[in-house]
Amino acid sequence: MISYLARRLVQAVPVFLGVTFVVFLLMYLTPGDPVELYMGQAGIVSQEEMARIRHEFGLDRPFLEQYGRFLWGIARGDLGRSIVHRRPVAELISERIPATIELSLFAALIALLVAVPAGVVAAVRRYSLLDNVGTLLSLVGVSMPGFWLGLILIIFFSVTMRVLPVAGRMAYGTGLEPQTGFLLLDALLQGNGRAALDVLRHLAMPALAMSAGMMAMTMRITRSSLSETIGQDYVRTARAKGVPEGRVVVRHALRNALLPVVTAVALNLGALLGGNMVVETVFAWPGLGQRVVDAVKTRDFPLVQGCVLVYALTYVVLNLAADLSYAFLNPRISHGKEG
Amino acid sequence: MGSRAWRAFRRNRLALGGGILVLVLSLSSLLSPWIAPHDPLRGRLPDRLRSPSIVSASGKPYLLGTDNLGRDILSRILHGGRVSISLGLLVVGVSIVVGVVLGLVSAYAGGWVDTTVQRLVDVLLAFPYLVLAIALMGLFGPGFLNLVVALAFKEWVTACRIVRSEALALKNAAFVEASRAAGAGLFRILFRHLLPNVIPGAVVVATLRVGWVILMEASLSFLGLGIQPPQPSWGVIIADGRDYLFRAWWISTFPGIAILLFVLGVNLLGEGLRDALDPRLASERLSE
Amino acid sequence: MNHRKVQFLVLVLVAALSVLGLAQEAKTLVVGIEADALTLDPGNFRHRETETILRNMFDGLVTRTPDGRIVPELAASWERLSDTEWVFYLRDGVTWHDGASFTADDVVFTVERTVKEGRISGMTSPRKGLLDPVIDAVAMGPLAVKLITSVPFAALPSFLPHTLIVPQHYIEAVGDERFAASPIGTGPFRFVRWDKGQQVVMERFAAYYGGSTDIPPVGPALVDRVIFRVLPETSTRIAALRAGDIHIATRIPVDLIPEIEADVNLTVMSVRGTRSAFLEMNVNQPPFDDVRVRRAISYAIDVDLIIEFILNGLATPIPTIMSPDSPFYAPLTPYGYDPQKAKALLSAAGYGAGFTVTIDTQPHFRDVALVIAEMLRDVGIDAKVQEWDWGILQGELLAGRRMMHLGDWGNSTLEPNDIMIPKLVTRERGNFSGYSSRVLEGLIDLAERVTVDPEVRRVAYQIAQQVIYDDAPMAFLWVAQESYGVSRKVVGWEPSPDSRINLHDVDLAN
Repeated sequence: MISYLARRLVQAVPVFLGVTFVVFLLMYLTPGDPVELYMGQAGIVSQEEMARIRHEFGLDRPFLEQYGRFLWGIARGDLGRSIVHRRPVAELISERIPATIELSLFAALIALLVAVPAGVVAAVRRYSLLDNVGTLLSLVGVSMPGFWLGLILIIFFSVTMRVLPVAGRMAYGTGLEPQTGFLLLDALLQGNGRAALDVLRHLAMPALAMSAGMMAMTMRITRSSLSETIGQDYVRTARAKGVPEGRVVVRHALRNALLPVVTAVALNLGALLGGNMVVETVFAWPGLGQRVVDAVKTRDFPLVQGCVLVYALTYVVLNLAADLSYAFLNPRISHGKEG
Repeated sequence: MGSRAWRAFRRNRLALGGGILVLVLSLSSLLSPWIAPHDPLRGRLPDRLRSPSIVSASGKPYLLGTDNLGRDILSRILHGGRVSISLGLLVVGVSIVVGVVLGLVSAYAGGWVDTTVQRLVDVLLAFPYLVLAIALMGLFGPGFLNLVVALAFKEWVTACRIVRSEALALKNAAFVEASRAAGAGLFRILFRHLLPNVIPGAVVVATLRVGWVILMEASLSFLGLGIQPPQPSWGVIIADGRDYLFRAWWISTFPGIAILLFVLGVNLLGEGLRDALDPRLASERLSE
Repeated sequence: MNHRKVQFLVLVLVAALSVLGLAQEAKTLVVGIEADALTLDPGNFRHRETETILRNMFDGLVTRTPDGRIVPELAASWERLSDTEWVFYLRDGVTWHDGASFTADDVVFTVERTVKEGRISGMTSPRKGLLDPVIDAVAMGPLAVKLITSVPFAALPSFLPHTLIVPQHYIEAVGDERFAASPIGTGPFRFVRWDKGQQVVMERFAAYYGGSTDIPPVGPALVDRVIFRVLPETSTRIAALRAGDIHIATRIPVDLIPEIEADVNLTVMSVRGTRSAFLEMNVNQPPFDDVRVRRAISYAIDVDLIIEFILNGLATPIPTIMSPDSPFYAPLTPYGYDPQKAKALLSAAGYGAGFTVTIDTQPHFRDVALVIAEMLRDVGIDAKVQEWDWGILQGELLAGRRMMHLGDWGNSTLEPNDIMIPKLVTRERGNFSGYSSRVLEGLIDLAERVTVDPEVRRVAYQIAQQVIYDDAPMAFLWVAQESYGVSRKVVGWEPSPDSRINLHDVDLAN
């Protein structure tokens, strides 16, 4: 097991190198000068001043030297300093990560809670009216642009009904003191029920807007995977032995059918973590997605590189998690022998 | 599609409905120069922000209302469909060709070729889609073809992976071995024997990905990196109208419904094709 | 314990008692702003929203009234000793939020931190350019500071509102990084917390010295707490305003004003901004190397029609690049809309058959660009619009590879040099038309480096504007108003041309 993990991590190194090189090259080739952009469209700035800032951030060095310094920085755990924020990149990223993870996990949770039961019903009653309605609804979910759904939710729940706050992560005045950055966890640790409720109210709409696509996907996979297992011999045997139908589905078929579901959820979680800049923008959610979009627009090279590195890391870790959960759910797969 | 598959497909009423949706929306977009009631690009400023109506004091009515420059929403949706749908088809088309070729070669050649392609796939997969697209749009500059390239840059990976795994399974199948023993060349084996067998899987995935690409274009438009004005796409019309949601809900709502219906149609069609063509095909990711 | 500390404690005590006595719920004013602060260090950013937020916690030596006058703030008065030396006399009795006294040493520290290299975490302040001719500061007693400039710098007071004074004792004790995360200032509100990406919370500083005596009322702030909430998406910001989550929403696009006005609880307040909009032409390439073609473009654009229909009337046409609010504004008559004259000029220049051109712009100018393209088509010019990501367009423009650019440029000091130099002097960073005029540059040099005589400077800039007007390197369009959505509960606030949101004098009605 340990050696398997180690091998996987070693295999990830070229991926990291590739990702950093591609992003470095992309940012280097993309037109646009971060210092010109930083100074904005107002006022006088002398050429000497801009040259000095370029020098202070090492932007006047040759490409390979900049890349080398970047790698050397990573090796020492230093991601550099943002040109726009003038603060360490590691700090700028880590203050945004909890918000993104909290939102993604919550969206995944909503998706699972709705989609797995719906998928089970659809699989058991295949091609029934219920199945068709479920299929249709789930596909409607995956066919909506996320920001469009988000705006419609805001209009309905915040402006018309006035039951949910429009945006942000928490209100001021609930007495919540962020410690871990995971606000729901913080509220629970501090035993502050009012704050927990407030955080949940803020989470509801963005999580729903984000979960729509994942919900559909999870339901479809649950349905197809379960209908496949239901037809298999051992399930038929169980049924023939007189085991009640509900028990057959849940105890025998579902456990095996969940394998592909788990894989897909893990991989999609990675996509949620990396692809929610649009929903984050609509709901003013202070996550990593907003940060990376801003960083690309302002050509804040060190910040873009840091963010992409974090995304790559997330991808590798989640892939590994998916493979490990496979082993957990299906003991027949042994990682000892696998290459 | 064999006759058994065709019957299975026809039995699936949802898939049939999806096919009809796709057909109707594609045709009306294709015919937009002839059927659009107004000029989609030029508006009348005095007619700005008119609500949907079946009557009009002056000339033809604005059935779905007008936007902030007095442009007819219905005409823009019809016209925008050309951009959105052709973008979806083009991106997926390019990706399928690249993905199938690289997938087949990767699987058949093995060795360092396979390793190189798969490392490239890994690197691209580790990039969030939007970040890559934003960076590429920055690099290439605005424009329809650049958008196609930016979106296809990562899109081919999906097809590549599926084709590779299917081709690996077939590589040592009896009929391929037989052909090889009979002295068939590399190209003959790849394209006469392996290709036909991996095509159905690729087609199913492709169908499902068309909708995804159209949604990605909408997201890029939302972030201000989509199609050039005044040329509309569905995503551009929604993004333009979002500031008017309270005052002129129709600007964003109708193109949103157009995307919804088209992507829904494509997805129903894709699912139907999957059920009909290959019931055992593992469910690929619809979203990312 | 010194006198000032006692005074401070008494004030705090009185404030505490009055709060207890009234036992009212804290009055909290919430402002919805489109971007978060980048840092809370007033010396380490170039970012409009950061400045807007920080100016409620920090004060400058001088400030600007909503109608654009420069008035004392932390300085009580100032005088000019020589062409290159100024003395600022500071107010007595001003304290930092931690109770320490504000002195001349803080001003010297602030100026040196801004203009000398490597003073903030080893790097140079990006605000150095805002004080550029200032090379040093010397304390002349506890309440007087001398500022020394390298060249005569008559416009110094107009640039000083952007330099907020920071506490020497505190920064030296906690370091630059800690200061940027948890600052103290001398402003009407003291820092409480910063939930990054979400909100900056501050509370009334009871011992506030009262602020500029030229901007009544003078005294501590009226509301107990202020929150700047970050809401980047316009539609979300407006939704929050309508839902009652925020009291003031910044940057309301003109199109959305009617929607806010339709709500009985809300109103819209507008103020003429400091950004001049224009259509720049590449003067080094045909057809725009011919001044007749450039003038024809000015005649072809119906500025009044665009202002009426696209900008809802919320803009003022300008004859050249200067805003009418600038004391140096030359009241020339804009070219005006005259398509016949435009066609005649084009024919005279040999372009009677028209030509093809692309108007390059950014998404927020899309509507204006499309309408201008229509107007150019009416005089026979085949104009298209291309929208760009600014990062790319900027480089293209500076390289002289584009022909026409629709954009704007900020001039928050309202000083001519602050906009004429970057936009119109040879090879400066905002000179996208490639314009180069010895006459103009000579006049700017005269006004900025040779003389400090106000009358000579005034006349020099009047002539400079006539030069720009005649050469027409750009078709000058307008200075637009900036609009804010405001809850009717907000009392005593008015928007400021330099986009500062001063909450010192604001109250909330029940």
